[in-house]
Amino acid sequence: MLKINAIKIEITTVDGSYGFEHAFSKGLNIIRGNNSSGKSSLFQAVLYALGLEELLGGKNEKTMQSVLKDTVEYPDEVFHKIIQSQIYLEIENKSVVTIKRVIVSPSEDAKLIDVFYGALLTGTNKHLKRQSMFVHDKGSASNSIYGFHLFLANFLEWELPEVPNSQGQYTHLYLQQIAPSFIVEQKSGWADFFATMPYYGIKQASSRVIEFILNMDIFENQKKKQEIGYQSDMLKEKWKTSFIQLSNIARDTRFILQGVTDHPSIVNIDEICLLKERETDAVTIENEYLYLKHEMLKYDGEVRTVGENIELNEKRLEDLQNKLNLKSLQYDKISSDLLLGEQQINQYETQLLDVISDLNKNKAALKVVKLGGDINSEISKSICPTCHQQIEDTLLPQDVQQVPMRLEDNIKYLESEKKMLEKYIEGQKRIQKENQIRTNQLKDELTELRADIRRIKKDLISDSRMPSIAEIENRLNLQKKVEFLEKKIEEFEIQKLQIQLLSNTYSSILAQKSEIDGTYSKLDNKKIEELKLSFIRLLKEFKYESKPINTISLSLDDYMPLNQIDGEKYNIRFDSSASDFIRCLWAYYISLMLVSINYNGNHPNILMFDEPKQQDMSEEGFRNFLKELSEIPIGQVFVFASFENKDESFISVTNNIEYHLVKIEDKLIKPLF
Amino acid sequence: MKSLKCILDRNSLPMIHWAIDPAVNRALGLAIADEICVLTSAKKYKLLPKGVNLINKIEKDTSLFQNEKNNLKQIGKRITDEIVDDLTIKKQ
Repeated sequence: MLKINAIKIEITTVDGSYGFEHAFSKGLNIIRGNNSSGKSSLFQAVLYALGLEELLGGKNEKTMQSVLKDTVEYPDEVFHKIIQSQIYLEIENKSVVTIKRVIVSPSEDAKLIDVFYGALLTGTNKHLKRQSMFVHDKGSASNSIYGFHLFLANFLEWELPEVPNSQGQYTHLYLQQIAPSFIVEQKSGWADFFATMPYYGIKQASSRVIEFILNMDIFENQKKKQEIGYQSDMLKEKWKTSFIQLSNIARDTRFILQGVTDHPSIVNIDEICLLKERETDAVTIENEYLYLKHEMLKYDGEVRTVGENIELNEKRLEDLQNKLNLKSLQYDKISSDLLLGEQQINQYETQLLDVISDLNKNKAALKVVKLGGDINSEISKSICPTCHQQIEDTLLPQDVQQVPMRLEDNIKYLESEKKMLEKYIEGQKRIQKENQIRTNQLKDELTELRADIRRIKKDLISDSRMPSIAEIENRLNLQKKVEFLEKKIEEFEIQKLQIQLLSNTYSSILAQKSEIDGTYSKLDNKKIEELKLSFIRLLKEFKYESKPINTISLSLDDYMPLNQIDGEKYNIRFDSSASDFIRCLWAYYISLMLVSINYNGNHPNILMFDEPKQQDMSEEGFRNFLKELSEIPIGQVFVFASFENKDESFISVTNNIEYHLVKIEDKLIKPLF
Repeated sequence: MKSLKCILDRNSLPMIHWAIDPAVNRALGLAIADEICVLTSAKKYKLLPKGVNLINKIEKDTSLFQNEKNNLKQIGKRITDEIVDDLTIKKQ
């Protein structure tokens, strides 16, 4: 809540002190004064003290009227030159502070604001702790020590949300952007919704402001989205580590990893396995381990002699030799495949580079054509500057009968070609990797086979009474292998569990994501609906007549009112008469405050309207407007109006309405005594 | 490009063939018609304000004409009128 308790304007001229001082009450305050009495100066002074003079279209003292910075005219035709002028504004939320800002001063800077911690104007204690702060400097919205707007945001208990700007970065919403939702200035404020909002490169700033004012969940969701994005990055890293570990086990054991990819996915732990392909089927690492263990156990007795093993060895030798031939053939084939694949990848990659460079050139050309449009070149519209006839988009002679492809088509074509090539390369690389593993596996098997054959041959020619060396070596090899596999299986199980955990995290992240994917929460929808109902109710109240009320609704994209006829949407501004559009603005700004009050939103619960009776509006609508304002349950409203400089019109529109009157008799700035 | 660098590096004229690409000529013709540049003498083109505007925009955008910009940077202002004259005017 922002409540303005009192204001004091202090002007020192060469001929003495002038100024204005007044305490405001809560509820409706009507500041009445004839044209050029200084009503707007008062309005502007409030904005200036809050550092919001950008709503008037500028910065610092140059936005102020001459009566506050050059010369005071009092009485008429008598001028007094100003030496120093400053504004005090006492504001209240949970606590009371008083702001002092100079407009002109021989010694102080207009960018400096003094904050007194206490009620300097209405209180009795004039010795208060004070602190100087800057406005409009780079740090004013983010520097925690000296930024006045940061102080003001804290004072209002506002946590300014981060919103995306046009550069794709995040920046805080600025106070000066929120202010137009409750302060409407007379010269340009009534031209459109949020007409005086300064531009800070924030995308769709008015929508963001409405979301903030109504405290919609959308910001919360955005924060959550960031958090989830962070978690998901972490998960990706961990997943990758685990995957690499798994691949390493597969590489060491010459098995093929199946059932898991290098990026997070929801996996079934039973599907993750290490396989080895054999001639006809495949075997898992666990089965291979059991088989080898079984083989090992076969040899539990004494080592037999060469003689005893002769028959067995001869048979095995033949088997092994057959196997060797088969594997050699396979090996030859796969290594030539490997070589061929390598070449193919190289070829694709060169092609891809060409396509990418072509694509960039075409995109650049398109940009240049657009630049040509910026400088108003006729060539960029494919029109000959001399004869104004159509020309082709080519530098070949114009009479060559060949229609060149349009740049946009070319880009599209190249982009799809690029995608296709990338897919090819990716696929090819995967095949290549599989082949590589298979080659290594075959290589190993071949070495092993040859070693076996050598041992058996050696056995066959040695003394038949000697113990069989082949058998001893076989036993040792088996034992080594079994031990190795046992260790690797253990590692594999650990990594599998890890992947299982990560997979669970991944699915919970996905669930969270889908939860916040919907743009609006239920509460948000309720708020938007209520904003719409309140807006329509007030339009009726204010005697809006341009369009039937039942065709009016709010856009879900930017929360702005629109007129909907047969499914076609029209901007309400173009579909309303000038005075009816002003009614729309009244209704909208009041509705924002009402909805925020109902849902405990971020509206400061203050409204300031400078000369809201624009155009030639009926008195009835205006009276209902003032009545509505006086009936807002909490907060404070300021209406600055001249009432056509007539007592009758003032009395007729304020009849039966509760308000606090600030009447400016002849001039705002008078001698101070 | 190679020939240009060659000229600059050796500071002398090698035997080179050169020709004007008809496409370049046509582009220059269009540019003159569009008031991007103007022909001030038989061999000199001068940018008009519209052209200066366009070039400034192109220079600012780093994604445009990367290779061309690099090449031109390497050459810099080292191709003098004299060199051009040497190339274009037949000597007895």
